[in-house]
Order: sequence, then structure tokens, then C-alpha cells
Amino acid sequence: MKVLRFLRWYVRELTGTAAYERYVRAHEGHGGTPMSRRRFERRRSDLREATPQSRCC
Amino acid sequence: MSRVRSIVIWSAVAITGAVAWGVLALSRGESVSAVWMVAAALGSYAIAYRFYSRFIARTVLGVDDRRATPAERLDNGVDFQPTDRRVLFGHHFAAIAGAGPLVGPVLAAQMGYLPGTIWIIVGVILAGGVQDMVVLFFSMRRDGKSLGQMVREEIGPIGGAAALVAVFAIMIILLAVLALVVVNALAASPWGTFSIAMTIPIALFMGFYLRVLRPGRVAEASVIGVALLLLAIVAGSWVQDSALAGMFTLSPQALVGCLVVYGFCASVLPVWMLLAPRDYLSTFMKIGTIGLLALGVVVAAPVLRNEAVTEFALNGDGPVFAGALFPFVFITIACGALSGFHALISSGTTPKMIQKESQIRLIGYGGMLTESFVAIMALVAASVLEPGLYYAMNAPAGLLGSTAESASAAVARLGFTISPQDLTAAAAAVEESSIIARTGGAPTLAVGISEILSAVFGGAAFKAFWYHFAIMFEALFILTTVDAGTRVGRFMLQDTLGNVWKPIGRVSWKPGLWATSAVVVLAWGYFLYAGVNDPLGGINQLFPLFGIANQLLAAVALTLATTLLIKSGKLRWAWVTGVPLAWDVAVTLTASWQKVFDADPKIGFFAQRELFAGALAAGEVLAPARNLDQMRTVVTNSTVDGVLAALFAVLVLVVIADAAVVCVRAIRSREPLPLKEAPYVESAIVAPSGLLTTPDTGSRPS
Repeated sequence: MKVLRFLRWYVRELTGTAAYERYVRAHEGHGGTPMSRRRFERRRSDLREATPQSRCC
Repeated sequence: MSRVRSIVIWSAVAITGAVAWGVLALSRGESVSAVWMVAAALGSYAIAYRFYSRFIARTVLGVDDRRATPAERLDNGVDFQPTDRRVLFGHHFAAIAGAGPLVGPVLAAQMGYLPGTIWIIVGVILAGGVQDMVVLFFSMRRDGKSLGQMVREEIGPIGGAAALVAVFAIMIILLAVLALVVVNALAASPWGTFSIAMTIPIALFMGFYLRVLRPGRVAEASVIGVALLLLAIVAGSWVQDSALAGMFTLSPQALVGCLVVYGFCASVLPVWMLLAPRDYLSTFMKIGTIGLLALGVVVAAPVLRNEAVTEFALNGDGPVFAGALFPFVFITIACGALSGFHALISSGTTPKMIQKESQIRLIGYGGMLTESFVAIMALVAASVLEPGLYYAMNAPAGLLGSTAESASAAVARLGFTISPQDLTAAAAAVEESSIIARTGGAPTLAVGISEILSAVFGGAAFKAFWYHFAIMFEALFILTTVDAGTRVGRFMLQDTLGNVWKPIGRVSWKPGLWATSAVVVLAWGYFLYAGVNDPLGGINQLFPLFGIANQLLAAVALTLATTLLIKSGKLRWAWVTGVPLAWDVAVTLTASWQKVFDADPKIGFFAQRELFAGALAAGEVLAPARNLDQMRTVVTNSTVDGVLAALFAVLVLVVIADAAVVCVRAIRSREPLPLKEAPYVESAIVAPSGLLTTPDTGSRPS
């Protein structure tokens, strides 16, 4: 059970599925409404455009 | 853990490793199980990680967990973000692991399994892991600056410019050689070509799913993607037996066209459409396949059929690549032991995400040990094959001819045996029309993987499935690298040209984007095309250049690391990066020298040029060329390759010379020279440094 929980957590973190929840949690402290998930994910992937990451050989 | 228990455990690890090494090194003639290779590797890694990497982190670099990392100081929730060490390890490993450590060891198997095993393990411990960790550390202390920026700021503008040109040129050769591996694996293979082609609509669907249908649900989309991918592999076999087969049976030249067009389109499309979903797919396939293979080797425990040291290691006349053991086995293995390219990742996004300084050990050194383990697996896969089959697959087509009979005769001339019937049967077992002269390493690895995995999962009936699974696995992340690499090359080009003419530097200006993308694609496309049409065999000609390029980039990274150690007043520890640097420079410059000046036309590019140009002037045709046009191709290719080999070496020598001046100044100066390190800020984060949590620092998944 513990292993499964860890695996689920790991996959969600590794793939960035959990990024939005973290953003919302961080936002709660500041007040105001957080971005919708759709907008958040769009912004996140568009930011990748500007900083290309090399994949190795 | 009590001290006694720790001593007992580490002694046991050391003894297991030592026994495994003994078995590998001392057996002659008797059969050796591949499990010994795995044991020697794991035992050595454990000792090196526990003791050597800790010494480097604590004593040499002086990591300080009270100091805030850039991820903590500059946290913006986007690129700077403190990330759990295990998650970051996954990101970093996915970025560094590619086709290199799979392909290089397969080719190096021509020298026997022992030289490769020794270098992959010793090299990663003393050079590769050290480079990755140290560059990661220095970049982290400089807010994640890139290798080029660090060379410019800490060594000087001349070295910086040379490093920049070197990185760009090296990137082009890297992309061309990787693309060549894919072309050689897919040529005249409708099954392989179909399943790889299907990855494009699968990735587009995932991209659409993540953008429009269910934004951000990556895990979910990846599961769907992997399922579709497996379906595509199975469907490949139906396509092969159907009327559609002709459509997917492509010549190498046609595949070059497809790859160039794909490379251009993929690199100008938005990241979310193709690159990002492909990246997820290849990461999952990578981790899954490597895990499966490790399991397969341990469960099936295949016997190594390769010799420990072949005669080609001594006479340098091997058909796969020419040249003696020193320096060419090191050049060929490249990525699995020491990879200059990792310095670009270690000074890219990873340093911006580290929570605690001490975690560089797990991520930098540990990540590279894992990559080395992948290389060991590849060497196992190549070494469990019958040597006759290995040479029939890896010698150039010019030598083997095109029929099973001619290949069998050619292999016999090399001193190995495989009957024409066995060759035909081996091709039939993986349902390919022919496996003769399938150079590039990928098909050989795929046959090895299918041998190992079918012994554990599915039996002989599954051989063809596992073969195409392995081809898909390699081609998938080579294509991701081609896309990502074209983008990085374009970015560098835009950045540089932007200094001369402003608009081209703007990333959002489409014509500039298209033009610079086209330049990068055409540059690697040229070498790819030349490689495919080279009568001497593209892999034979270009792979050494790829290895030299990669190892020279490592020389730049290690030069920077050594300079920084000396500049920070740690001259007495400079050997930690200085010794691998000296070795790497000796290996690489010897190889460059031989490739440029050697009088043997099999090795020296210019000697080869002279031989073929002389014959061409006299109107003669020299084998393996078959007509005057092919003679002209050889002359052009050897000229270009020779000039390139010389250029790489000169650029790196400029960086080293510039750094040497700085080092001498640093040693002579009474005051330490100024460093461009970011200022010290107290850290507020508490997190463990190792893989496992200890009770006092315990953190749990949040």
C-alpha cells in the first residue's frame, strides 16, 4: 500500500500532473483567484517554448 | 546503522564486486554468464557512490546545505523551483539517457566484452560521474548558468567563443549520426517504419488531449499513449503482411528525406503538439525497457558468446570501426562512460531545481552511474549474440555484399563462422527480410534484447515482437533528440545571429525561426545524406567523429571544472577533474590526430582522400566503391570529415590554452581570482540529501 502510494505520488510529480495543485496551494496564501487549470497548463507549456531543453545522445 | 554492521555490509559488496571482476578477467575459453558483468558493475558503482562521490561532494567541492540553492532563492514556480530529489533524479536521468550508451557499447563489442566493461565502469566512476556532478555543482552556484556562459565568464571571451562554436558543430554531428542509426534500422523494414510512423499521430493525439481535452493530466495521457504505441508495434506485423507493406518499405535515401522534413516540421511546431508528448512517451519507454532488460539478464542469465578480448583490439583491423583499442574503444563507447553532452544538461534546467546542495551527489553522480548501467546492459545484449551473426550485421555492406552467401563468406574471411542458412533463419526469426549489414548498433541491440527478453517473456514466438519493440524504443527517443536538438541548435544560432541583426534574434519572429530551423536541419541533413550514400559505410566513417566530438565536449567541461577548482583555491584537489581531463585529452587528441594525419587510409581521412583521389584521376574504381560517382563521394566525404575532425580539436585546444593562462594566473596570484558565484543566502528548506530518508531528516511525499 505504501509502495503504491509512493508510486502514484512519484508518477504525478515526475509528469507534472501535480504542478497545478501545488500552484493553487501556493496561491491560497496570496489571496485572489488562481488561474484555471487550462490557462495554467497553457502558460506552462508555452514557457517551455522559450527555453529549449536538450535531450542527450 | 551501527558501525560494525556498515563495515560488514560494505565489505560484502566489495568482495562480490571483486569476485565478479575476477571471473570476467580470468576466464578464457569457458562460458561466462552475463550476470557477472552486472555484478561487477553494481558492486563497483556502490563502492564508488558511497565513498568517492561523498569525498568529492564534501571535501573537494564543499557542498553546504545551509546555503540556499538558486531554486530556493529565485523560486518562480516555473524554471526555478525546489524539486524533490527523487523526482529531479527522474527528470535528469530522462534528459541524459539516450541512444548513445545503447549504440556505442554495441559497436565496441568488436574489441571483446572486457575492454568495454572495464572502460564503462572505471570511466563512469573516475570521469563521467565526476564531470556530471561537478558541472552541476558549479552551475548551481551560478544560478544555473550554461556551460558556454561559464566558460566565457570564468575563462575568457576567446575560450567562450570557441566553446560556443564547438558545441554547435558537435550538436550537428550528433544529430546526423543518431538520425543515421534510425535510417539504418528502418530501411526496407515495413514493420519498423510503420510503427515509428504511427508515433507521430499518437503524439499529436496526446498533445491535443493535454491541451484541449484534459489539460495537465499527463499520467493519464501517457498510459493511453503507451497502450497505442504497443498496438502500433503489433499492427506493424499486420501491415508487413498486407497490401500496405509497399508503402512502408523505404530506401535509406527516402528515409533521409522523411527525417529531414520531419525534423523541420517538428522543430517549428509548438512544443505542446509533438515534442512534449513524445518526451513523455520516450521517458516511459526508456525506464520500462531498461527495467525489463535488467530483469531479463538476471532471470535468463544468458552466456556471453563474445570473446573477452578479440584480435581486432590488438591489430586495429576491425570491420565495424577501424583503429586500435587505444584510443578508439574509448571514443566509441563515449556516452556510457563519459559524455560531454551531459555537461549541457547539468548546466541547463537541473541546477535550477535542486533543493539542497548535497543532492548533487544523487542526481549528478547517481544519474550518471545509472546511465553507465544502461551501457553495460547494451554490451551484454551485443555480447550474447554469436560473433558470426554480430559481424554479419555490423560490417559495412561494401564488405558483406547483399546475399546471405556473400555475407557468410565475408564473415569467414574475418575469422568467424555463420552459415547462410543461419543468417536467413536469424532474419526470419525477427521477421525482417534481411539483417545483413544492419550497421549502427540499433538492430544488433534489438536482436540481443529480443534474445534475452523472449527467453523470459513469450518464448521464440515473441522474438519478432521484442525485436520491433526494441527498434521502436530506440527510434522513439532518437527522434525526440532530433527534434529537441534542432530546437537547441536553432536557439543558439538565433542568439548568435541576433548580435549581428536584431530581428533574427527574436524568438517569436516566424521567418527568422523558419530560416534558422532550416539551416540547422540542412546542416545535419547533409551529413546524414552523406553517411547514407557513403560506399565505405556511414557508421564506419561518421561514428568516430561523433565519439570524438562528444569526448571533446567533455574536455571543455572538465577544463572548466579544473579551472574553477584552481580559481577557488583548491589546487590540491584539482586532480579530481584534472586526471580525467588529462586522460580524455590524451585519448581524444590521439584519435583526432590519427583521423587527420594517419597514413593508413582505413583510419586517416586525408590518407583515404589521397588514395581515392589518386585512383579517380587515373580513372580507376577502388572497392568498395562501384563506379566513378561513388569514388567522387568518397573523396568529398573524407575531405569534409577530415576538416571537421581537425576543427573540433583546434577549438578545444583554444579553450584549454585559454584556461591554462587563467590557471597559471590563479596559482601565481596572492589573492584568489574573483569568481562569478552567486552570493550566500541562508537556506530555510529542510530536506534529505540521499536517496533514502533518515529518521532525523525524514520527509514524506506531500
